[in-house]
Formats: sequence, C-alpha cells, structure tokens
Amino acid sequence: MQKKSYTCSRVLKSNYRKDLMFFTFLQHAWLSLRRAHYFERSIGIKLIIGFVGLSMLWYIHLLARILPGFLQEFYPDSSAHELYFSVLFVLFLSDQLMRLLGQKLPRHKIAPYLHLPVPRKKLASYTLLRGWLSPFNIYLVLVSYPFLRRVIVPDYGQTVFWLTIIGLLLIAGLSHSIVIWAKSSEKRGLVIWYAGLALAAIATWLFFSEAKEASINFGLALMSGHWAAYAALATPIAGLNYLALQNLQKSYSLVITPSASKFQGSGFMGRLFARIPVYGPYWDLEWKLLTRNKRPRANVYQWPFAIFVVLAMITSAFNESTIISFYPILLMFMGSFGFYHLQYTFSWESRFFDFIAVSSIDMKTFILAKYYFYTGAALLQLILILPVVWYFQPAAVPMLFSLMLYATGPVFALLIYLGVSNSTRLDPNKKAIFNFEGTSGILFVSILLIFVSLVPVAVAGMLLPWGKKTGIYVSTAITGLAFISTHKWWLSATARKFASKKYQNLNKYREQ
Amino acid sequence: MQINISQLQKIYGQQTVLDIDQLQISKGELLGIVGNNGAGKTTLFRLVLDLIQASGGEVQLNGQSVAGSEHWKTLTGSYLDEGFLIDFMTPEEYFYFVASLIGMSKEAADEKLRFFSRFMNDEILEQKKFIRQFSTGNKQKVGIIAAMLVQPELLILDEPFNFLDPTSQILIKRMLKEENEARGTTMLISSHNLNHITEICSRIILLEKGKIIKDLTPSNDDLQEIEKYFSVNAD
Repeated sequence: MQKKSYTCSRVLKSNYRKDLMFFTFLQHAWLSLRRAHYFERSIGIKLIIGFVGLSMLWYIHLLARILPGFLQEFYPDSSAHELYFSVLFVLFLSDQLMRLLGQKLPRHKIAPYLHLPVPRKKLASYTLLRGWLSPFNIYLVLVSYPFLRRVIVPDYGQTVFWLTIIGLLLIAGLSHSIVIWAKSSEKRGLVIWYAGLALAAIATWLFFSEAKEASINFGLALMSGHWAAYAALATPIAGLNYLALQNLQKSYSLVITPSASKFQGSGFMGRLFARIPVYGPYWDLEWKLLTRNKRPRANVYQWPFAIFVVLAMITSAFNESTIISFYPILLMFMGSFGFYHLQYTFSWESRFFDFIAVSSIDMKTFILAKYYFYTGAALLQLILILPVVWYFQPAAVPMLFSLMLYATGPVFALLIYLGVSNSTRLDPNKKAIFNFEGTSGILFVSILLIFVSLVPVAVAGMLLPWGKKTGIYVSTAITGLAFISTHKWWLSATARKFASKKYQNLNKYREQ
Repeated sequence: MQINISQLQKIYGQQTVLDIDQLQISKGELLGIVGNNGAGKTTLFRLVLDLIQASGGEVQLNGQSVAGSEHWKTLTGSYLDEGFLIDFMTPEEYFYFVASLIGMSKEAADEKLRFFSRFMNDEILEQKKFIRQFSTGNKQKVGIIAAMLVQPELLILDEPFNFLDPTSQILIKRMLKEENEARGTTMLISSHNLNHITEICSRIILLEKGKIIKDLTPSNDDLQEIEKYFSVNAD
C-alpha cells in the first residue's frame, strides 16, 4: 500500500514538471475521451461503426483502382496526376467550406487548469497542437494516397510520390491554419475569412481556366520538390499558427471574465408562436431549442444548403434516365431539417425531461406539436423551391411532391416512433460533429429502414398501370398520404409507447 | 393536498434505497425531510412526482395514485435539480412557459412574479441571459420561483437553501411560510440544515437508509434529539 502511494505521488510530481506538461494534457485528453459517455457504447455499435469505416476505406481503394483507367479513357491527352492537380484548388475551396461548417476551434477543457500553476502559453500551445489531430487534416491525404500511389510511383518513383504527399499535407495544413486562425479571432477574423472565401470562389468562377492552369503548375511544382512551392505553404502556416496562439491566449482570459451575452429577446418567431393556441407554446419551445443550442442550430444554418443542393441536383443533373437514382438522396433533403433532427427525438429534451414529466404537458400534444412543426418546415421548403423547379425542370415537380409526402409520412412516423428508444442524454448546446453522442443502434436501424422502405414502394409503383415513373410517384405519394392522414393514430401510439418506457428513459436522461 | 404513501419501496439491484411502510401528510402541512446523504430524500421526492417507478407500494395525491393519473401535475409545483430547468430559455421565457401550461396569462404571471421581486434581487429578470449562463445560486432561484409561480396545492423542493446567500435563505423561508399560511399549500422540503427545517416546518421526518426513523413535531427537545442523531453519526 505504501509503495503504491509513493509511486502515485512520484508520477504526479513528474507529470507537473514543465517539460512533461504536454504529456499530462495528452493523458487527460485520452482519459476524457475514454471516459466520455459516447465511448461507453455497446460492442454492437462499435462493430457497426468499425464496419462503416472499413467499408469507406474499401471504397477509396476501389476508386483508386478504377479511376486511372476511367480518366485515361475520357481524357486520353492528359495524364492522371495532372487531372488530379487541375482540381486541387477546387478541393481546397470545398475543404474550406467543409471546415467552415464542421471544424471546431481546438479548445481543450481549460477551466480546471486556469487556477493551477500552469502557464497559459503552455495551455494554448497544447490546444493548438492538439487541434492538428483533426480528421479534416487527414481525409484529403487518406483519399488521395492510393490513387496517387497508383499514378505516380510507376512513372516517377517513390521520392516524387512522397514529395507530393508532403505537399498535400501542407495544403491540408494551410487550410487548417486559416480556419483555426479565423475561428480563434472572434468576429474580425471570421469576416475576413468569409470575405476571402467568397472572393476566391468568385475569382475561380470568373477565371476558371487560369485557375486550373495555376493549380496544375502548383501541383507539378510540389511533385518536383520545388522549394518555393513548399515555402508558399509553410510560411502562412507558421504565421497563422502564431496569430492563432495569441488569439487562444486572449480567449483564455475571456473564460474568467465572460463577455456580455448577445441575447436580444424572444424575437419575431417567439411572439408569433405565442399567439397560436394549443401548439404555440410547444412550437416556441421547439424553435428556441433549435435556434439557441449549437448542435441543432448548425443544422438550421445548413438548411439553405439543403435547398441549394436540391435545386442544383434538379436543375443540373436531372434527366429521364437518372431519375430513380435521385430518389433516396432527395428523400433525405425533402424531409428538410426534420429528417436530421427527428433522428434524436426526445433526446434533445433529455436535459429537462424531468420538468416535462412533472408539468402539465400532455405527451400526445407534445409529440403532435413536434410533428406539425417539422412537417410545416418540409412544406415550407417545398413551397420555396417549387417555383424554381417548375421553371427549370417541371418534370421533377411530381417527384419532389411525392417525396415530401413520403418524408413527412412514413419517414417521420418511423423516426418519431423509434425515437422512443433514444434514451441517451444529449447536450444540445455541445457541438457534436464526428463524435457519437446521441447515436444508438436504433438510429442506424431506423435510417437503414427508411431507405430500404422505398424499395417495396417503388416496386409496387412499377406494377401500377400508369408507366414506371408515374407509378412510382403515385405509390410514394399514396404511402405518404396514408401515414399523414392517420398521423393522430400513430402519434397516439408513440405517446403510449413513451409512457410505457417513461421511467427507463427518464433514468437514462439523468445519466451524465 | 393530502398525500398518502403506503408500502412504498424502491430497490436498485440488491439494495433497498427507500422503504416506507405508511406516511400520511395532511393538507397544509409543511413537512421537512432530513437525513444524511443517501438516506433516500431525493428518491422519495422522485417517487412522489412519479419520476421513477416504485418497486412496490404507491403514492396517492388526493386519493389518486400518481402513477395512474396525471391530474395532479396541474396542482403541483416542484424543483429538485437543474434537470427541471429549460436552460436555453431566459428566466422570463421559462416563467411564462410554465405559466402558460396551466393557462395563466402573461399579465397574471407578471403579477405573481412581483411577489418574488426581493428574492430575485434584480439578478434574475431582464438580464438578457439564458438560464444556463446564470450562477448556480440564481439557477436555484429560477427553479424555486417557477415551482411556486403556479400557486400549487403541493410544493416539493429538494435542498432549496443550497447555493443561496444568507439573505435569500431568510427570504425563501419567509415566502414558504407565507404561502403555506395564506393558501394552505402542502409542502415537502428537504435540507441538510436543521435550523432552517426546524424554523419553518410543522413536522419533520428523519430518514436513514430509506426508512423513516423519526417523525417529530419541532420542539427544543426534538431538535436536540435530531442534533444528537447527526452528531452521533459524525462520531
């Protein structure tokens, strides 16, 4: 016993030596990950996640095998690596866009360390360094590696291949550094970043061929190991990281003296919902939940992108032969953000479900209000996109209409009904991209079921006497309408199911 | 509101955390519940509020089982912990939401809120902050006010004096007494602080390992008896 306590104190002492501080932080980060709620998932979930990960790697490998031959056939005058370099700037811009939506500022949970004798600079350096261990910095190289290996190594050898990979890592590093600097600079940096991104996108559009040429030349410079190309990437990386370090140290002071709240009152929607009888207070609650918490708010902000994607797909790639392949993807978008949000039904409220359980909230009204809210959002989305689709692709209108009915019918029914099994405590104000908080086996099953459910509906539609396409639209719309018209019945069933699982769910919602 | 508890048990695995044979709480009674950590105070409250399922027995409010009906919810106000707060609302929004659930208008809610103005000490309303941005003490105040705002027939507060400054502790005691005397509200209050409990409660029960080991009406002798119990435990 004595020996054990001696060992512990020695470890503690050595951990607090300045030079070992970094490892102590790493150790703490590992412990916080290992002991996180989402890490204690069942082995089944871990296996499913592992399977999905391995499948993705397999697809990347397959793509690397197929793509060079494909490129050779369609672009016989260009080499595969040059074609790859020609889209390097597009990749960089889309990478920036993805990071804009998804990448978090690397904030270590620093509050417990601030009162300890830990230098802030040390904390800031650690958080900055740890930020580099982001999936955003790895995926580009991971996806490109097998393809580039296949197209560069046979003709140019290993050295050239590795020089290219280092160049790609630096490109990812530059993208990372821009984002981290902008997100750590509060408003000013973000404005500069948004403006820069918008200008770059406009310039690319206006001078596409020049940008393509420059992109190829830059890629070839990296490939040939030209020092200027590496310096052009490494210099801004160093500068931006230095600035981000300063910003992070400043932000640690803000932890102690928090800035004034930016809250501006209930707003227009709050006042509007307050006037609506019965469902008004519930919609107001839903609206506030969506707009005042980081995780659902990110989803609301992505809503215009969803509308844009639908319009882009319909106006650019829609034609008679590709119609069926659009079906499952568009189903996701036509449910609007309800499709994503309802996957975590009831878990969103987990932090205050005790309140719901003891107050005079009727569970059936609560669920009905939720359903009407997201159905209304899907309808609103359809109304917004319909004039544009009508103008460019009138043939797509029946498809979108039937898919909206299907999404708000059986899809929402399934999500809300299976959502009763979402018993995970979820913090809606915590960003949760690339972690599995709130994810459950039932969620995987429900998403799978949603997409699979379209198959029998489509097959039944083909058997109808109005032709393949029309038959599919009709069968999809009829299925959707059947669920919509019976929504009170199945939502009552959901409320009853929730009541029967009430104690079990409330117990789990309370778990930290 | 009359409360009848009979044969109430809560068992987790092999461990019985609450085992109350009979407990009657009359209308207008201000019952204090004391006991060390793990004595079963919060479990009792959760069972009364039907937040956890009893392993045996039942709780009846006005003759109706809490697990079998929901009517009692409109007559009950409660605050056990932060799980009772909708933390992305402002206190005003939360109060109006709670009021709207029992059909109380905004004006009526504002009128009721005036009663709590000293307790709020200009730190709750019009702060332009969400509840999650408040200190623990002020969150506690928001929860207590929301529970009392609906003028319930039964008020349940778990450790209401925790995190509050001395002035607020005095004010909350005064408010509870006033409410109890004026409206005959039945109250269940738990606390570790014996002085607070003996000062306001008309009856005190002492819980130990889930069982009621003493049921007292506060007097100097009773207070000494409870103090003796806690000091013996500390020794």
